[in-house]
Amino acid sequence: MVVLASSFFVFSGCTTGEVPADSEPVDPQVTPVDLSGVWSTNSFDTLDNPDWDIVGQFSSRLTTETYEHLQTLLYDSTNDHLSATEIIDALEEHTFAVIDDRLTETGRSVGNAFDLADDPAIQCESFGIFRTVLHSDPIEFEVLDDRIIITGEDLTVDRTVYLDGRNHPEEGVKSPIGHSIGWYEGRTLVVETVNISSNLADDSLAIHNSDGAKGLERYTISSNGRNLDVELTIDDPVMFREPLIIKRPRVLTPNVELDRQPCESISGQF
Amino acid sequence: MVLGIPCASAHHNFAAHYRTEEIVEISGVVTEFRFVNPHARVYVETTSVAGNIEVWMVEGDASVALRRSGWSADQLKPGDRVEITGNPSRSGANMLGWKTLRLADGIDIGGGSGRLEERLSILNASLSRFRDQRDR
Repeated sequence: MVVLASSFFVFSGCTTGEVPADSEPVDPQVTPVDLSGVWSTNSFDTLDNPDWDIVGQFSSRLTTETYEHLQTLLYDSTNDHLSATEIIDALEEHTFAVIDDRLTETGRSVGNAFDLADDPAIQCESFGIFRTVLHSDPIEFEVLDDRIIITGEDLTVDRTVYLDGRNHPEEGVKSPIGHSIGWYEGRTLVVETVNISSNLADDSLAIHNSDGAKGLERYTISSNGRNLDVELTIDDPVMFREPLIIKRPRVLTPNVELDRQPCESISGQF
Repeated sequence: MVLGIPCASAHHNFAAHYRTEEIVEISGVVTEFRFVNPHARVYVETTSVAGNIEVWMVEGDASVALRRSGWSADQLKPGDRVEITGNPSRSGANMLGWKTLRLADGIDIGGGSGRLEERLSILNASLSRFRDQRDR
């Protein structure tokens, strides 16, 4: 039996940070699923990948509530008059409505004051943890016995997720990437992250996180090993009245190689 | 479109620099194509209604994403005639975030910010196939 973490971390009825009572004890030496490889979002160059279903092709940074709305838009034939553009617009409107309803006064105030021109990424400042998880570029999982290394492109940050049963440091230093530990629940890799410094959580969604935020990622691999359901929960009572859950599915793309070009802060300048 | 559901592989949102709700069109001659990170850029010489020569800088999708779509550093060459639609800059400078880029033969080679038109083409085709199969 491996104790994975302290038990303080609770998300909307889903307790994490310790092995759930109904889960099999996890031996970090035995990896029940293999996440190794490069996984891509539905970016343009992989949008026609045959492993995408129609829901996946339309899914990008959707709240779980909006994801359900998407199913209705697609499977209820009364919506068949909608074009792809109109579905995208409907998803955008729905996602922003969910987020707006979820924001605290502080979260709303910070979001309203945000100007995309002030995005630190324009000056080549690396992303924080949440933006890294939600970003559109491919990521690569390197699965080792005691940890997983997750690398990406562009301004995303490389991450180490410890699987050796360690706890989070009690007096950990806060950083944009925080401290991550993980464990398996069946076909799902669960990653819990704390000690996260305040940051722009996602530019397109115009959401920010405070330095009290905690993250929970769930990477669930399909039975054929080619689809990865990715769900990020941001638990941040300063910014959100309730945890915000955002989905970001990926497909396995063995032919894609990560390409890390140096950042040049020349965008938007003549 | 701020949310970026059909997002570019850009490391920041084009709305940071461009008025994404507005579209303008320019035509002219390519003077330089720079296949650089974070966004490919084309410099285009145009002639204004008053007869003045103007130089525009036009930004497209991330070079990494374009390379994966088969683009190369010689995708555009000095002297190529182009017609471009795109979002004008917030600053008022002669800059566009391009949406469509047509060569002299009238073909839109895509590659613009968000790849929106290209993405919509794929999504509409998928949607049509899905609805056909769903109702069988």
